[in-house]
Amino acid sequence: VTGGFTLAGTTLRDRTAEATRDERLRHALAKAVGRFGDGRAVALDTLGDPGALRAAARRIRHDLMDHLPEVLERFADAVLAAGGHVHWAEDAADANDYITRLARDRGVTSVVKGKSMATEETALNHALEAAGVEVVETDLGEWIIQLAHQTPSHIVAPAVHLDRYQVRDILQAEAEPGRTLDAVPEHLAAFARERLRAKFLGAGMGITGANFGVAETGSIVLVENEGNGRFSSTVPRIHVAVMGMERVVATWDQLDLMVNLLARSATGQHLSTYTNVVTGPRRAGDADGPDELHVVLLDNGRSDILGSDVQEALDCIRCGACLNVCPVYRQVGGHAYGWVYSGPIGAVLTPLLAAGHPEAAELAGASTLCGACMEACPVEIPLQDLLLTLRRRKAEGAGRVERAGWAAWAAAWSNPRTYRASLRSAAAGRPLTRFAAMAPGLRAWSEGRTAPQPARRSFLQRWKKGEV
Amino acid sequence: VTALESGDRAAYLGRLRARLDRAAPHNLAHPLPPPVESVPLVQSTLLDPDDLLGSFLRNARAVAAGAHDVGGDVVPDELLDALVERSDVRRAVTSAEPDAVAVGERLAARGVDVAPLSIDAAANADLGVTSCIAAIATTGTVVVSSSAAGGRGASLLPPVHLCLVPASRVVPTSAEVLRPLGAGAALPANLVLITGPSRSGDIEQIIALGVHGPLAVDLVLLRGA
Repeated sequence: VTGGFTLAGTTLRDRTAEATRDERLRHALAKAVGRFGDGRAVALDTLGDPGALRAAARRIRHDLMDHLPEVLERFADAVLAAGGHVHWAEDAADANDYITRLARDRGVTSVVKGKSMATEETALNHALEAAGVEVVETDLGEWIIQLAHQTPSHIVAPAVHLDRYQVRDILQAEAEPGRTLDAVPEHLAAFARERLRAKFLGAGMGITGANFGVAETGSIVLVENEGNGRFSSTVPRIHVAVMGMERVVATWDQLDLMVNLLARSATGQHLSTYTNVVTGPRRAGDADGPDELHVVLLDNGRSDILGSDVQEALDCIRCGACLNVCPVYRQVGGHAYGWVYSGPIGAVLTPLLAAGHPEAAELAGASTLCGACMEACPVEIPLQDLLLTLRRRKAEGAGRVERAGWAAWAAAWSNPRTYRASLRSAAAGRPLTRFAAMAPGLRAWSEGRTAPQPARRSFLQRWKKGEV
Repeated sequence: VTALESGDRAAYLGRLRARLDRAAPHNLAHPLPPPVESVPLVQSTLLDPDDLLGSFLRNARAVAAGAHDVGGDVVPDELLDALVERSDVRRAVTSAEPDAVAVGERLAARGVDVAPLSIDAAANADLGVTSCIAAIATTGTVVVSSSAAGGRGASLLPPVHLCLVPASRVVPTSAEVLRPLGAGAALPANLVLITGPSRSGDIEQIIALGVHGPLAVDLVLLRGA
């Protein structure tokens, strides 16, 4: 099961059980995620008043979503004015179809991809491969998991679940006969550079995500450290950027704040190595750069979140800080969440964006509601509030028997007479509680929980007799 | 796929407007902060306001860039010799910027095979030379424009990027670079903020330099320019 999108047909319980049995995974996670968290704290400490910046960022993102149609329209018009193409993609199939048709129409046989979560969500690679196009992931982590036929386990660090020896073994299969790789991260990165450079130079299309779109100028902003996004948007003749429609900001003032918070929250850098601003295709006089720029604006369920009581889920800027501080994520890693997005934001987004899977709703339970996620979030998304709202939604959709049971309990405890009666019967039935917890319908819930033992005689009964 | 715009814009945006028209009231336990009149500036203790150039050099070194502090307005001969020797530079590519071209001519005089920018030339070069349109002191960042440089590849493909930084172009923070971009002047096809050499932490979060972009970035701060 480990390593794939396994949401359909499995339960959260099975997936977490498998993950917590994997000692190697937990060891790798503890090391890597700890480094992330330390860096973030140090980077934020250099800011004058990070709390004020985060509060402003929350309000800015919230107000942007409240005006999303206007901001998006301005963005699209500016992309067109700069000579770019815009495709309004309703869903994953629509986006994949557009890109696949584009590749076929332009005779593209080989595609390089920069890191993108949106195209993980749409499973673009499968669509392109089915159309006979070779797809190579070029972010080091994404390349590793592509070779291993796995899926990303972290928004920022897709291969965080693997240790260096596992990575060495995966890359060794790519080395020419007689060449032995060692498990030194720097050497493995050099091997990737060598192999992927040839792919970049031979590709007809580069596909990236987009960290932000800026409506003022129709610019795509790609934030990264390796150069995979720069190469994908520089060398091939065609650049396609797939952007979740909520990733837009209105102004460069807003962008300035967001990139500063993103870098510090994601990796503890003050700015990422490359903050790459793409505005339209290459200009006359440019020696390189793509002839065509296509921006795919992806809805894919996002519009259902807009205007709902969980709209703030759209404020996310995908830094991954909530994953790194989450006591659940730190134990089970990303794959236990079963789908593209993991950690607290994944527990919110999966029930919303993967709503077609009935198994998705239970993801809202993958949290202790401790609130560390909101504390870490650069745009202060109240993740625990959103998780509670989603749990309430799920409860409202619970089965008739379960709801009738809770309703009877609520009615009984709302009246002193029936409340006392229920306590008396609980005391009488005391020896049975252990067995009740083993009833087939209750076992999943009662495992790991201790059934409360009612006192033989209640406090009220003892009070009346003058015993207390 | 030949039309500039495709898909159904009106239906797409109409759906969003319909959702917002009957929006649920904000009722989460953590209430919204007040509206933001002007986007706050990011201030950092990494900037010494009394020593802009010193801050730039220090912060560039902190992200593993080479930061060379030079008095005049050109790269001194000794520094150029040292860089050529250190990185065994045999082929170089230069951006279209006049100061970068001038460095190219001096490299050619040292026997380096210097070519103007193209992807092919950059792919085979040991060194790429550019200037920058701005540099950010708080983060040790240089800003390279594809319009000024005549393309993007010189700062991306070669294993070493040599960037000229005239002192007059050093600004305190990212705000001085990013915020004016909305003011109306046409943007280049590509504007890149470069903060140190290419790096990845994708294996155990241990930093490896030079994954796709340059392994080494040498910034030459020209105090007289």
